[in-house]
Amino acid sequence: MRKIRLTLLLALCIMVSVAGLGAQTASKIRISYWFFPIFVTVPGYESNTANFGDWENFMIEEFKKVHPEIEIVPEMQTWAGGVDKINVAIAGGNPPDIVFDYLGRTGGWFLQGAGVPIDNLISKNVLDDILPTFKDLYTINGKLHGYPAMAWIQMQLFNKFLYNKYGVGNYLPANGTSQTIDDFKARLIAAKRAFPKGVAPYSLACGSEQGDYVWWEFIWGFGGTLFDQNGKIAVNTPETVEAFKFLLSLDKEGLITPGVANLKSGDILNLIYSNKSGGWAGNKGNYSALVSAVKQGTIEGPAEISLYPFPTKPGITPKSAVGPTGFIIMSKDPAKQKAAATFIEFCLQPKYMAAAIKAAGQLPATKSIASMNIYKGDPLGEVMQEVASKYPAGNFGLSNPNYNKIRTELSAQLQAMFSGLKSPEKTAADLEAALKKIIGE
Amino acid sequence: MKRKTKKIDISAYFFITPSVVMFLFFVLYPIILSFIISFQKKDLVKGIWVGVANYKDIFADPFFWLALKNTIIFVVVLVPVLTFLGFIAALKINKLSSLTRAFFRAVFYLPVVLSGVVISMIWKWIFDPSYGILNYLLELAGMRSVIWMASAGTLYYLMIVVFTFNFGTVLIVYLAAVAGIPEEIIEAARIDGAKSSAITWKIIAPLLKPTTFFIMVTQTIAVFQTWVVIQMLTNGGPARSTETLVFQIYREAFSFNQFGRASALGMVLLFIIVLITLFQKLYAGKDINY
Repeated sequence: MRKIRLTLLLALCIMVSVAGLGAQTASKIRISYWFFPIFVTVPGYESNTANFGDWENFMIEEFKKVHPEIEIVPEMQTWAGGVDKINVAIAGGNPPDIVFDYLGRTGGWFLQGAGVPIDNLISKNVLDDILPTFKDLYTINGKLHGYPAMAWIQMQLFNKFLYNKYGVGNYLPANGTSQTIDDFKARLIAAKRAFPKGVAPYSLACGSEQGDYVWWEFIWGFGGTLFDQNGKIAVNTPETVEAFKFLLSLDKEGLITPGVANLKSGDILNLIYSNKSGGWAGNKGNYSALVSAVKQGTIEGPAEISLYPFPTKPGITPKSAVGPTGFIIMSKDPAKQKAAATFIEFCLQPKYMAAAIKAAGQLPATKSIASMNIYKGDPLGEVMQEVASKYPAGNFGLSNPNYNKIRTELSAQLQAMFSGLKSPEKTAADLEAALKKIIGE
Repeated sequence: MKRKTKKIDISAYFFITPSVVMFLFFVLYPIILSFIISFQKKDLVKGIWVGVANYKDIFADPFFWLALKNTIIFVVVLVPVLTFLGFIAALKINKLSSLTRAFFRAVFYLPVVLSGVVISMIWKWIFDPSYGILNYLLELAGMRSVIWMASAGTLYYLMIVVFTFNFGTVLIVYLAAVAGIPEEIIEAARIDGAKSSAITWKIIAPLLKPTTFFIMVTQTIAVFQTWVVIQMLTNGGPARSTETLVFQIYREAFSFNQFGRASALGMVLLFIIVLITLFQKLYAGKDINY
């Protein structure tokens, strides 16, 4: 009898506990938050952010202190399969509530109906803080599809250590100096003569669609564009053909890493971090990785970088390729949307976001952080900021619904040109025809 | 005379249920769903019925025909080569000591058990124009280096990689089949004065016909589904020249989010594979029963 009573009591305890837990969970709003590995060793929070994902977990813990009623469930995605996973989650009707990702993808998700406008979810003062350029980029069909947090800016980086080591450091002017196409080529020719076999003066890659903006930078440098003033495709121009001829000459003269038609952006990173490339298109984040490689002893150092805007023909103002990353809300549940917006606003507080942006080596997308001059005393950061403020942003179709197709087509056409299957003239003509078809002009 | 009633053991149904359920949910249901989606213009969220528009688009697209041609070249070249070399290698390896046999089995089967991505990465290094071993050897021999993955022959170089992926399976299946041939049959042929080539082609090869048929069907399907090698080594390039049907399906679905078009491509691929398998069954597998 006693045994039966004890068993019943135990069962009752379990039921009460389970019910209690259920009640506790029910009172909390659970928000799934998916992000990619971007932030590590965040200045001022180094002890808490030694690994990718630590920053987001730290932010969640901080958020929990002020909003215990909201439970944020983080999930870090890999660069290799994360986008596919988000696509599958959306297609399966179970998307994450918040995603932090690149505009090139968030815009596409929103256009397909996977995101909700944030105009009425985020507080007005926080919305007003967005820099106008980014507000325009994030506005799709008159609605703000996400909140831009930061942006990379593409520049030309040169490994100063390598150039100095082989006696051609004099070809690298002061950081931030604007350069002509001829200056740029002269530097590569000098480096080719000086560098040992296996070290390329510069690297370019069109083996995949990633890094599309680099090619546009060169096209802009010759005065070409993707769209004309009326927003129509305008690629097949003498300027684009001239840019293509120039790029082809770099390959033919052995001034860039061989195999440009098959190299991918990731391959270039491997070349950089093994001191096999003297220059590349990138951002400040590459410098931090180079410093790590030297620290770990995998390559000779010291890690020194020279940073310039892309070269142009005389009289042409350089344009910058700017790629913002931000938050998008995907939840369809109004209560969850509100909770998600609360979390996003928490993360966007300048005291946190400024540090995170600095860690990522990117630029702020909000007025409040832009005014903080976060790169003061950091020469590379200052150059990056200066270039961003000095030169206009170029349009490479980032907010176009067919952005992925545009860049895939660009890489395919360039591959044909670098493989000798097409002349620069035919490449420009075919690219224009294909892009017009994609966009439906 | 009283007719004997056949007793059915219902426990058999119990044992096959998990497989049937898995097949229904993970194979048949996606095929049916994919068939329905192939008539829609469908992105990640919305789907609009467009009839056969996706199929019309596909057949009007020159890159579909290029991908189909590439896929067929893969199948036509690789399946006979895999089958023939697998058969010959199995005969040779079967004659070796058990330890050496085990060694070769392990060596050839290693790429099958390793991740496709890992194997592709190793090949990527081998083919790398700047620091790959192939170009290093060419230069040692005083020859010019080659841009292996962006040249006119890229499709054929990819075949070498796909071969290493599939050869292990073919070899293992043939080795098991060769070991199963009764020794008396071979011995009797020898006593009758048959030469070793006659034993190979007139006795062993016909005895292995069911195995050969099995290998041809499974390898045709496997080669038709080549994807990871393309994705990792060329990304379909240069200039889309190495795209295969499965690569196009992946790109349409996951890069462009055009699930309707991707499903239509999938249906076309399914139709081709079924057709080829039926053809193989009809001609190569006439007197084969499982």
